[in-house]
Amino acid sequence: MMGAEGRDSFDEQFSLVYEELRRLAANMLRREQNGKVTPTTLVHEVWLKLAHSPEIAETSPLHFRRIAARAMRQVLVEAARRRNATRRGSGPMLVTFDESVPGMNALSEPRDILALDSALDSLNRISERQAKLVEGRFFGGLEISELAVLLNVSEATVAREWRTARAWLAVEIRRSLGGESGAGGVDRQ
Amino acid sequence: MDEARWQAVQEIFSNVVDLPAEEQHAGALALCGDDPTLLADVMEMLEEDKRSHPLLDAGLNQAARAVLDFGPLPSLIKTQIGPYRLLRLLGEGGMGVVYLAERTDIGGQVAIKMLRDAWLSPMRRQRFHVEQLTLAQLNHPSIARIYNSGTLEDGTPWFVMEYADGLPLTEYWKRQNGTVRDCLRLFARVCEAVQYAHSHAIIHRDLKPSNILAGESGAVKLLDFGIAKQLSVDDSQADATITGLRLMTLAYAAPEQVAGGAVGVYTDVYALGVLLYEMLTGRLPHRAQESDSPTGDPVTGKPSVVIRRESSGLPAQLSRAEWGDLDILTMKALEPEVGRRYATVDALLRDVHALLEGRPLEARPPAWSYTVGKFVRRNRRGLTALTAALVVIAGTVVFYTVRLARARNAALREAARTLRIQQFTESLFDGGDKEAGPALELRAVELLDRGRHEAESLGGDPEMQADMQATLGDIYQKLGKLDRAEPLLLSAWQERRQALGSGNPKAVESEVALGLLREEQGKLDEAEKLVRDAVSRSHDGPSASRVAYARALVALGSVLAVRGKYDEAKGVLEAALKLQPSNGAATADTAENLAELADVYFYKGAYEQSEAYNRQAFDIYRRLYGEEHPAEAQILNNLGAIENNRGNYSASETYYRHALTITEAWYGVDHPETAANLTAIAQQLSYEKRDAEAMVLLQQALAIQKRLNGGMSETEASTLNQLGLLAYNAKQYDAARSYFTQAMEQWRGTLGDQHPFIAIAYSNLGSVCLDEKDYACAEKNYREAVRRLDASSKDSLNAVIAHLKLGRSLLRQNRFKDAEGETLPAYQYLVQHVAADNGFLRASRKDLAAIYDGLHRSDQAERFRAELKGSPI
Repeated sequence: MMGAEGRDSFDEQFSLVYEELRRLAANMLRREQNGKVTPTTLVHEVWLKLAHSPEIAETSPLHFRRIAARAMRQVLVEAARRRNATRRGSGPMLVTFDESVPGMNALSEPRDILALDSALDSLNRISERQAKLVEGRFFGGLEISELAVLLNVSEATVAREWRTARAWLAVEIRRSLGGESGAGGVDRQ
Repeated sequence: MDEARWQAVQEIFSNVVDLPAEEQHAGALALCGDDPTLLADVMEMLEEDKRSHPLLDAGLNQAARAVLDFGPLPSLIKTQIGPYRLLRLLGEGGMGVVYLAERTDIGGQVAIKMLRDAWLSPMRRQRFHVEQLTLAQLNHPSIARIYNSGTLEDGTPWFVMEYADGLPLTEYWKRQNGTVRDCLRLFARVCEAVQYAHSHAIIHRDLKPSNILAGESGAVKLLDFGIAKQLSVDDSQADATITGLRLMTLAYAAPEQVAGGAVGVYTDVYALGVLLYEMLTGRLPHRAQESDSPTGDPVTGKPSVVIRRESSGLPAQLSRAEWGDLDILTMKALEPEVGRRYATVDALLRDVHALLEGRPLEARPPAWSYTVGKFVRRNRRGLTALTAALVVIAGTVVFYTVRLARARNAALREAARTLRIQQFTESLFDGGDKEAGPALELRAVELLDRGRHEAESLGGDPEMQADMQATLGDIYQKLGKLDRAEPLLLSAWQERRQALGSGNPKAVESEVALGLLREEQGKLDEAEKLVRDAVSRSHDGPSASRVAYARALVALGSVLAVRGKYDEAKGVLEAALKLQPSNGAATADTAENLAELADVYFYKGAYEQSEAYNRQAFDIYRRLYGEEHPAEAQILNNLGAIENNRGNYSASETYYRHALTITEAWYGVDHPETAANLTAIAQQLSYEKRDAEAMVLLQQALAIQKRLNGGMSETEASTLNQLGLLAYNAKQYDAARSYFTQAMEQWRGTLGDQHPFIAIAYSNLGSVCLDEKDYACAEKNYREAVRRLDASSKDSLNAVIAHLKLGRSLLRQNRFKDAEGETLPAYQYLVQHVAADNGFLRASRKDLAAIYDGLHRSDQAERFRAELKGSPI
């Protein structure tokens, strides 16, 4: 997906974006418990902070949003993995994530995110473009018009592919979680 | 599912998804033909399409809340990490968390920093490591020290820092309500600490009140060198931004920093200017708006004007001229344009002292604004680069000390691995000159050429060039690049001799530097010649060069000691010690001098004096550096060696293990210091007949040394020697002979034939022969050892043991009278100097009993047999 020479700079940009994302999210979560934080505002803020840094300066805003989306996905997946692991209580570890997050939505669980992540990997195998699309939209808050530019397809295509991919991912996620949330769906053994 | 099938699924799904729900099944059925699985897949997706999905539709916000928590880490409070128990959270940020902790074994409070989410990327771990190394290089009373480090079971790295209790600088100052002079004195202490860091090639880049704590009696403590960005407790203030990978606080950030330009020592000068302004006037020099850069912002007003206007300011105790100087000084530190700002903290500090002592400022116009100002505008780039380079000099002089040179070089080599120094070197020549080329891709040599070229373009001031060469040579030497250091140090010395005369302290300093380079290169003849010359040149110098003279003497003592000329070394080092400040005023120079002297006494076998000097040095280091510093590890090793030679093995092992803990924590496992420590403990273990444990450690050490040295080295020789001893104990005589011979060759190659270590090797070879019952061979080797040891250190324990062994080889040949001549004096010495259960002492009694049996003097024989029975084993 990226050349050897691109990896260092991606890692650097990624690390930068991750930290800024995390820092901003921390502040926002503390200040606004009622949940006004959106991925878009976060990424926008990160861009404002980082736009002039030498590591990011050469990057177009849209490409930056892709990096941010990847960083966001990574952040959440690793955090979810981590959280899952600590729940199983595997010895003395640095427990990074508190169990009692105020205002936590019971519908989203760490394992949902892990399931989404592996479903996205599966999607990437059958359609790289759609995986990119979902990553950009879900983790990066990219609009349909922006995705159209980034992926070099029409907006109608983006809209159609998002809908298909969303439905497919929903099936995959439910299957991997054992079908419990799929009341009314087609049961599988 | 493969791509083709996915295409089919998508197509059918898209065709029917917009149909009314009740028609979808029929539509899909028509399109799927007789493929029930395909139909099932599509129908499943259609079901999901109608439902809202808890995750996919909830969006990132919910997802983030489900897994991320940025709050404190309550689960870690009260947990134990090594000897530390976490008490409470001190601060946290995107990367790290800092806890207050107490040491449960010996008491005391420390701060522990941990890397958050270390698993995320190797880069995070690397940066954390770099921060650690940065702190490890700094040993200054005003800079928070690092004590220890490690990794949790889950891979989370942590390190332990000094916990500083105090108020943020500006807050402290507000409560003091002192005079302008008090303010400047406090400020000078801050500058000194920053200047110290600069001399170690470290730019803070985030100086602000919350990073500078002031405590009782105005002692200041700089925190978070290079890590402050992660530790800011309240990042929600709008005055935070990022330059590169650094977060800094906008109000204290220099314009070039905000603009993302090159950062240098002048960046810290600016921050210091802001701090001074704030301390003086109680307000910031400019009001930075949210997401607004202070570039070009005029400073709101001269400090004197603000102070007079706002009665809340300081009481007026300055003359009119002094108020003017205060304004000049402050504003020059706050110059938005790098070329007009104080180029170094040292320059700023000089003017602070000048103001305090009523001397004219160096920065005082019109000299500055007219002569220099014009010049600078014309040559700004060049001068910026050069002055940035020059700042290192003041501090690097301190480096030319002997004892710790190796430990420091090693630490700096470590740092080099993380590119810190190289980046700094590059930044020296970067001076905002972006167009000149991509600095990061330039090699240091090219940068040097560029620096030299710029120096020439300044009008060819040879002194300036020499300063720059000395600085760069010094950096190269610290980086371990001796061949590159050489031409620079050489040229600096020549230039200084020509320009200033060879007796000038700067020229002497260059000569000593070159001498110590030669020592490190193993060119001992030349090293001795140079430092001797430096000694004689600085001997008659002015009182100002007393420090230089003392350092030259210590350098000479070191070279002589390495050459095995212990008596001469002793005289030189004792003379140097008289010049050093002592007692409460003792410096690191004093401690190094003492430790060097202790070494000489040790090699002469005078353990009482050696121990006393080592303990003095240890106390000074403890006072200057706090606990667990590598300098202390060095002393602990020395003390361990003393106890070892006295035969007090358990005491010795305790010292060695303590030293190893410190060394590993500072330098990591793969490091020459660690290897040296491993060898020392192995020696210990082998004396205690714990050969299997010793062998493991020695092989580890040898592997490290071979990896690091490649060719011949003194330390590798010592490891080989100990491996020889182990093989000898295991009665593997061929292997032992081979190890001892290799050790002798390496010692001869690195230290020369006259060195006492060669005697040790002969003695060991003699022991191999003795055990193989080849007594003539044993006698030959022991005689060689005795001859050499008596020449270099008569009446030392080593010499006595050699005599004892020679005596035994004679005894085995039934030459009882000859044997008595060797063994009896050895016994008399041992009785006085070693522990009652010492193995050599027992051996001497046993041999004497046999000797007197052979001489038919049964009363004497009985006496020694009785002593042998009565002595502890």
